[in-house]
Amino acid sequence: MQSSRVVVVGAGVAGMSTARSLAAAGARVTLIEARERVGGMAADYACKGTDRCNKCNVCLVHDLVRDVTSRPAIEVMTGCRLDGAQALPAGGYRLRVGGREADCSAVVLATGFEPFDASGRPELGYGVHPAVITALDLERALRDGGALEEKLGRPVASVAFVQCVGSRDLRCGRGYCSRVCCMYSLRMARAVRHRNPSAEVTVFYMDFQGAGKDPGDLRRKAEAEDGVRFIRARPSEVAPVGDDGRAMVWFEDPDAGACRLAAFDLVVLAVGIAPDRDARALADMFGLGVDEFGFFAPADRADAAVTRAPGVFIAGACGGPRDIAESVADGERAALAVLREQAARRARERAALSLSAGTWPGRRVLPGKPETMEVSSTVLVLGGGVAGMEAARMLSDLGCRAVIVEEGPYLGGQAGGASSLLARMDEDASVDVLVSSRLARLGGQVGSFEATCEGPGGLVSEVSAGAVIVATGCRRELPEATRELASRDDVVGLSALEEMGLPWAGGEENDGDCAGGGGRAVIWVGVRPDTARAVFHQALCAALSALAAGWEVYVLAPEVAVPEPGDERLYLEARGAGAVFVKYREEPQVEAGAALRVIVMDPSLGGGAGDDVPGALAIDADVLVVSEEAYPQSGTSHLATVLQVNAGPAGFFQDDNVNFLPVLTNRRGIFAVGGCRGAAALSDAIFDAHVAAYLAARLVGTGRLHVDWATARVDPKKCALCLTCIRTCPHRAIDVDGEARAAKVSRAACWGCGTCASECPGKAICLESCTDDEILAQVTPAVTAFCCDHSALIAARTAMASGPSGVAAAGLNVIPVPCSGKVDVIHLLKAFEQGAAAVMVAGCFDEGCHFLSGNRRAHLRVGEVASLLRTVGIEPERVRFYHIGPDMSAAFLKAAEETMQVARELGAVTGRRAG
Amino acid sequence: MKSRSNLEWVLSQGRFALTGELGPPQSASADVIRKKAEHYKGCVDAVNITDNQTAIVRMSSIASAAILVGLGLDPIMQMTCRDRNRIAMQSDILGAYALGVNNILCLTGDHQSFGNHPTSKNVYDLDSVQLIHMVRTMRDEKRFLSGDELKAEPRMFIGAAENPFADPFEYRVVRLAKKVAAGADFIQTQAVFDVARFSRWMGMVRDRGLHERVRILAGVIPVKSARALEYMKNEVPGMSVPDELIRRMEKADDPKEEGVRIAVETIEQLREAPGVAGIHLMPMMWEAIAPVVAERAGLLPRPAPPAAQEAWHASEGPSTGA
Amino acid sequence: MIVAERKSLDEILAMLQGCSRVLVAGCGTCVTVCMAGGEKEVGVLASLLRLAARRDGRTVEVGEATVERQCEWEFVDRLAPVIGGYDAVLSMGCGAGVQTIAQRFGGARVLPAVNTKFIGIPEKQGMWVEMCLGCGDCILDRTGGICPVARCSKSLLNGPCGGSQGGKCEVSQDITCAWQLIYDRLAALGRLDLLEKEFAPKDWSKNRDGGPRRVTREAIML
Repeated sequence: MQSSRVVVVGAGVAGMSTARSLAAAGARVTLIEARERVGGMAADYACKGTDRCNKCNVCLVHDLVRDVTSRPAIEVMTGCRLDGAQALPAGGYRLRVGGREADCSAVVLATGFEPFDASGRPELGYGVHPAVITALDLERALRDGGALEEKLGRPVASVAFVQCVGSRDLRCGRGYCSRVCCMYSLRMARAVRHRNPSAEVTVFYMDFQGAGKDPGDLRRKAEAEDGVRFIRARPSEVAPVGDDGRAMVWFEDPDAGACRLAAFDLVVLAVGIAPDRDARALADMFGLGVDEFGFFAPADRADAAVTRAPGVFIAGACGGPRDIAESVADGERAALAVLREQAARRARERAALSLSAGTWPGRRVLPGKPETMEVSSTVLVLGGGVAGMEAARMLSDLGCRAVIVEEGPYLGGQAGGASSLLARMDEDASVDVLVSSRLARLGGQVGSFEATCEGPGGLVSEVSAGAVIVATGCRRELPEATRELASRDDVVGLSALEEMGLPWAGGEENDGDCAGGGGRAVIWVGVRPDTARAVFHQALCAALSALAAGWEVYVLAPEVAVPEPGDERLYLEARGAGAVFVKYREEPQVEAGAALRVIVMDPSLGGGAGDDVPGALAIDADVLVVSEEAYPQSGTSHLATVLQVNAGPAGFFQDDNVNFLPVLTNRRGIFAVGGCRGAAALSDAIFDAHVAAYLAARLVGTGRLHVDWATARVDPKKCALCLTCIRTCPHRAIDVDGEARAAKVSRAACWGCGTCASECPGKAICLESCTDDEILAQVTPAVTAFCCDHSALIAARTAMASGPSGVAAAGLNVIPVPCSGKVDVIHLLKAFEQGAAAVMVAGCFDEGCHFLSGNRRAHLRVGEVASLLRTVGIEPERVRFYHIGPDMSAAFLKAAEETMQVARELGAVTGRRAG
Repeated sequence: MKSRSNLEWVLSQGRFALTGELGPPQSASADVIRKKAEHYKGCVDAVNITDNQTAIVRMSSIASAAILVGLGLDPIMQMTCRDRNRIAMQSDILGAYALGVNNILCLTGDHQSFGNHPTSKNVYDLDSVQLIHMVRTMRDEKRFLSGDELKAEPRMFIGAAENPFADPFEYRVVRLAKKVAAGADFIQTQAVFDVARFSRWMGMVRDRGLHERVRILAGVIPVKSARALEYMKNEVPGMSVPDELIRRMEKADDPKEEGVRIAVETIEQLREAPGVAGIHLMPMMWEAIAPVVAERAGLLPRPAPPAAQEAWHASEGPSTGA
Repeated sequence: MIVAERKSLDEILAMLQGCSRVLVAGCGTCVTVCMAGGEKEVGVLASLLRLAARRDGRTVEVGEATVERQCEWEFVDRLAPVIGGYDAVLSMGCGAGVQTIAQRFGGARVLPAVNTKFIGIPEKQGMWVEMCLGCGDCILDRTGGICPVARCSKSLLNGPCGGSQGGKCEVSQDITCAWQLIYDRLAALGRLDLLEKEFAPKDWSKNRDGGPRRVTREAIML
């Protein structure tokens, strides 16, 4: 009998996520890490929160580290390398690790990446000029808070970021976009400005590659609030100047059309992601393929975790550039792939899939009374497009029953869906389909949702489901400016192109007054940063097919968005084949007479020849292809009300909060996938669907759910049914229990933040493992800091443990809370009663709360306590709120010192008559 | 004739009526009233006496009206529901009539929060419709609101206010109908600056045939400055002031003259509207302008009071107010 | 429910002048629901009283007790074992609660810690609005389920007055004109005819006759 152990190689973000996910599904995992500590590259990154969360995801790393090192099912081996592997006849491998041999059923490679070595671009002066550093150097300097000048040993009044160092650069063999640099530079720029409000920040970039839920918002804020200057230029050289050690950046000024020089105190090279140097050796060890750049290649692009070697899987940046959130999700996908393969193997051996009773890790929670409850293993899938069907297929593979509810008369959605998938839906006994139906009501909680669906002719079906996957897609429409052109034959939407038949397919029928006998096509990709990535691939494919048909092609776009694997190559190919790319700043104008004429200002044409206006390009187009904008489906806000889930940016489902990516909503057991949570490429939507199906199956797939985390409980005798808890629970985990005539917390749905306990006016709710009594027992006359377990507490512990400055905090009474939302007005007042001269509450950044809104509630309560103190003549500044990231020990120290300074200055609250 | 009101007589003659308005002083000085009243002599048919307007304490409207009676003017005593319950109201109506007051304008009253006693308690035992009904019952049925018999009835000519510029617009005319049904004999409207909206309202009034059942006097305020107009537009509830009017005042070299011109033009336009039986001029502390506007609008001279009216004042009425 | 609001600390402290032992008594019903005087608010007020004393260098003993409903003899009775040890009882119940405690414990000095405001609902979390005046003569059948007595600034029965503009009351832009609401609702119900008829003067005797009003049901009496 073979070992069921799974070995994960690399304890970076993806490896940790894979290990955690596998362990949660009941597997035994060994996590091997070559370094002496877990965490990978990202463990050195800095939280880039300013006054609000900037979605850098670094806090996720801290959670992962704590989770994998505290979970008994995960064996962590640091300082170990994988020295050899031998395939076993019955499947699985015998591995040699640090001189030991161990058998395993599967191997997940999560070996990460190496940052591009900036000395590979010597003209940029890295290692030569002290003013030139890499983004990683800046990450380290930003860590722990504190003054940047001190840490870097130089002024930072003017800072330049140079993008695409080691990315999109064939000269150094990097013909791909590293996908993460634009966003990290943006966040660092904000963080630098936050530390040095007078610093001037300039970003030299080629194209803005957005990622995350609302990248446009971050860019707007960087420009509007921080005054970050974006210059579209690729600096050719960095040279030192004068005695002040400043660096001169040579670049081609797009406005002047001439070469210019600018001096900066600091030049930050935004280095890209390169494959790990050992990747090739590992690939050889297992017989894997690598792509042209040296990243591990999946067997099939659609299933990126699966390699051509049986039992070997890949997760994270070893398979190509990924950011932190993507790596976390990638870990889930790899775990899913492992489990599916094992399930298939067991099916051959006629054994049942051995998922253990579902549970919900993935978030550090306090331990609570263990309880196993019966749940429904049916999953309701809303929406029968490709994402919905993929979710159903995966659920069926994982042993769940799926019920698809589709509003339209048939399955398929926008993308139509492959016939094999449609056939599968038809044949699969575990998949039921309700067409022309919609969800009218949803009662109950995770594990036992009760759905009422209304079908054709008023037919009502009741479905009991353990979880819900929302895959209702988005609405695609031409942008406002071109909508009135929609009825023209020569204007077509980008995503409708395939369906309508390619206009250049029948080339010879055209009049052909253009060169090459084909026509002239303009492809206008005028999309927002959050949708660009989803449509640019389509635009490139369209351009190439038109070029192949002998057409002249113009692609008009504010940015060339090529973060998707392979898209940079397609872009270069299209340019090589003669496509003209115009990166416009002002919207193109369309003159739609008998023929189409598109006029666009091309910033690269300084003083255009032959045109009336310098730089203006007038294109007489035979066909205008316009990329559609994505909008939430019209019923989204209604459905959000029915499901009691939150909507986020632009009205799509899901909050913009890193802790909920990729597919979680504010309610446990309800997942949002694909277009309904924001414009998504088809591959992203399928990825979402698989991850959500896996998480749903892990939660309820066995029909049993094991709750072992601390939850809130209501004392029905004290409950006045005021509904406060029901309204304020960020996770909608509380309902009215009709029988007890009191509020009732669903233990399965509760995330354990304790917000309800602190809002309850009757003191009828307590959070297990963190009751009011337990908190009050820790209150002393010392200056007190209530610290969120996910952020400030980590910073506090680092601060208290480290060096001489830790001593300053020694007199501080640190009281841990699972979420700052657990801190009650009474806790703060009691601390003052006990004699504390000042009290601080420290939580996550706004929009970065692990429980969504606990920190906001806490912040409000601190404000309330301040005004209450004022009413009794006590200085309101004695109570303070701070946002502190988990790595910000210096920021914590500063906050603690500030609070203690207040205490010293004002003295104890005693014996002094006010006024 | 329902009463011995001069206003009723003018209207009954089919003459285009003109009323004025006088705000009593925030003092016990009768001279102030006498001085203000001078401007109205021979220039209007009746003069409204406001009742603690905008909830600022002033001399009572009954006493002020009685002083006007003594001066030979026909006062329209305003009565709001804000400050008295149904007992006090009936009592005051009897008293006012005994002092020679023949007109009453029944109002809801501005809320006390606008005035100089915002911490007072309001009454609103009745609303304006109910007040109209009560006066009509007292006059025509010779009964108190309680149903008890009333021997000498107060023969009041009953007025009500209506605001064509308040909301809901479609409902304003319904409420007017309610007031007419309750017993209103004449209506004085909120000041008209927005003639277009007023005309639309009048159209609805005519559709219901209300202009034949009640005499409608359109309100006009002569303004001194653009600022006064701005104030009314922004601060006075239920006012509609077109922006072009404000611009016109702003541009004027002599704003006072422009204000008079606007008032005169407005009167001329309103006079054209079928169903408008007269003008209610509200000079707002600028009583001296009333004769000027009346003259320039061609509303002078006013019809002479009938002999019978004079005789009544001489025999029954306490004409000297002693 | 009855909606109340805690009095200012200054006012409460002035009432408590000279008291060194104070029992803060909460109520588990209406004032808990409107977050004015439930167990949590009792805790907050007790803390504030202690802090105020600490600030002034005084000592004060503050007890905390919350009963199910301060307006029932049986529940109020539960204060009996402790009440004797205090100089004053600071009731966080509504006016009925304060008076019930005062009546039950003849010797106790019972003080109100909240202002009883109105019968209302939470318009949204943290904001309550008046809905009913308890006038004793309900007319909601004729006004589309929206009460002009409680919600019109002038309690007009034949409203709206001339100060209604854009759906707002003349008193403040923050106040919705109740009569606009009534009009809109009756229009939606197709019952604008209800507004054509005059409302007769209200019978206020059902609201304020001499002395407290009583409701009696003999069959239920013991």
